[in-house]
Amino acid sequence: MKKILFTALLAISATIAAFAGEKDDTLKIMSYNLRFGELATMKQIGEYIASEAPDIVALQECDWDTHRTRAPHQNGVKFVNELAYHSGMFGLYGKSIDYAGGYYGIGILSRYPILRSERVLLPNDGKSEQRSMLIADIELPSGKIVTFVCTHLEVKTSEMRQEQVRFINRYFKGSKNNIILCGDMNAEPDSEEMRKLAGKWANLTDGNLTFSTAKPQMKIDYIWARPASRVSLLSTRVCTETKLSDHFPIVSEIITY
Amino acid sequence: MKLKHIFPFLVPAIMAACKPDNQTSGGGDNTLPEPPETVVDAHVFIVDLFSTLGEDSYFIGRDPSVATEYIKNQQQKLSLVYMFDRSDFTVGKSNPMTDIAYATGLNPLFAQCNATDGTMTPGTGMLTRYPISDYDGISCEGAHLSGCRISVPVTGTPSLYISTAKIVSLHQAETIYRERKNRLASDCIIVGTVANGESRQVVDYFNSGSLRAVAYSVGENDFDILVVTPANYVCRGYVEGKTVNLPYYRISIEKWM
Repeated sequence: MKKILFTALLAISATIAAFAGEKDDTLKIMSYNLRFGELATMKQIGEYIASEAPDIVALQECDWDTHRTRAPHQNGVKFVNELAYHSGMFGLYGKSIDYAGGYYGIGILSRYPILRSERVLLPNDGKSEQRSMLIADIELPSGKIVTFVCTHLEVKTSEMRQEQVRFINRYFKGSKNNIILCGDMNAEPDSEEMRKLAGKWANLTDGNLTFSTAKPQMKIDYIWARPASRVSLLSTRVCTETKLSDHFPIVSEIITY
Repeated sequence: MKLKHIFPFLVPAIMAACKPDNQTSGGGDNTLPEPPETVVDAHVFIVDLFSTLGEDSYFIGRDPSVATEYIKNQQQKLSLVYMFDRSDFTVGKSNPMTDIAYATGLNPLFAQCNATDGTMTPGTGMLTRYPISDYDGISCEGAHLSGCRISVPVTGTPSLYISTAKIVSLHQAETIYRERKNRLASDCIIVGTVANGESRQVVDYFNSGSLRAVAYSVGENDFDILVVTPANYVCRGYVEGKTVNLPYYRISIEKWM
């Protein structure tokens, strides 16, 4: 009887493993703040992204059909759509605020099909610009689904950023998927808000400076993941060779289990 | 007790890992009120389905720029969503959806109909007039349903999920219903295709779940057009068209209650 039960348990484990698709996924992740396209065209940025060939990209400071005096060459441009076109990826857009006749917000590009997506507004004290996070469930070749999150935190006060980080931590508490969180956090690694993130997420970037491209002085762009036990970092770098924005893009290659 | 007596019970237990707790048969003898014969045009919206109603990839031998011209020059009631069945997505290569979106200013989405492959994933491309950040889908037991929440220009309807699926078995229909029955009954419309030999069963199944489903068989094709709506909506039929060598079907859906 014991032999039968033991054999059955092994069969269950093997079957569950087969159904769960126990294959790993190697992913190249990029996060890039575009500075509303002031310093480059979407064609230049899209072709740069294509040349790096990331699997998923988090984009910040994305305009949608705005008319800015500071970036007249981007008037009427839908950033995510144009980047999707030039990079050969699919795009998602998350509006944070109405701006200059269009929208200002964040975006995601993906080489793999997006199963679900949602834009979630972050806490706001009413005095600052509304911030948001864009969440996409993406089905990977292994059959597993990864939850990819792009965000751009409050720029003015650490207290507001801390509240936004607490919200993000609560929002994803209990999630069963592997989660990758990317973006411009507007905070340095030793800040209270980044320590709060580090308590729940694995940091998949190094300490090299990401802002500004003209005079690098701060690291404020990050790639995080959780649970830490289901991700490994293969490589990471700040792409200092490109100055298509006032932020350097960051790229990390990871394995998710 | 021999293993063969236990195993039949073990396999369903494993398969249950994919099922929600509120599994339902979807059956029942629900009689819906009949919509009026008179169509109120102001309550009607259009979905254009570009499809050969077969298994082939739509843009093999067909030029996406023809679809671009059709969309840009559309004189009749503008379509809410344009669907392209199948518009397969190949990793790292440009996609007709992003090409057409770039040329028309519309927004591209992709609804997979098979599990993600490392190279090519078959699916239906979608183009919408408004940016989409709320996108919902399932990938479960071989069934796929994907759709976007979009504002619908019909009085009293702030937004709907316009979804698509390519159904080849009753089991897929059952899975879709089980996973999304609340949404299907309230604010989700499916415009897709169903294998010709399965359409009767699939339509009957959805109708037995207090939905309003209809399948249109066109010629000798392998697939029928499938439309599934909540009870307060009704499909008012389709108009078949062709632009150069691109066949399409303009599907009218009315909110009648």
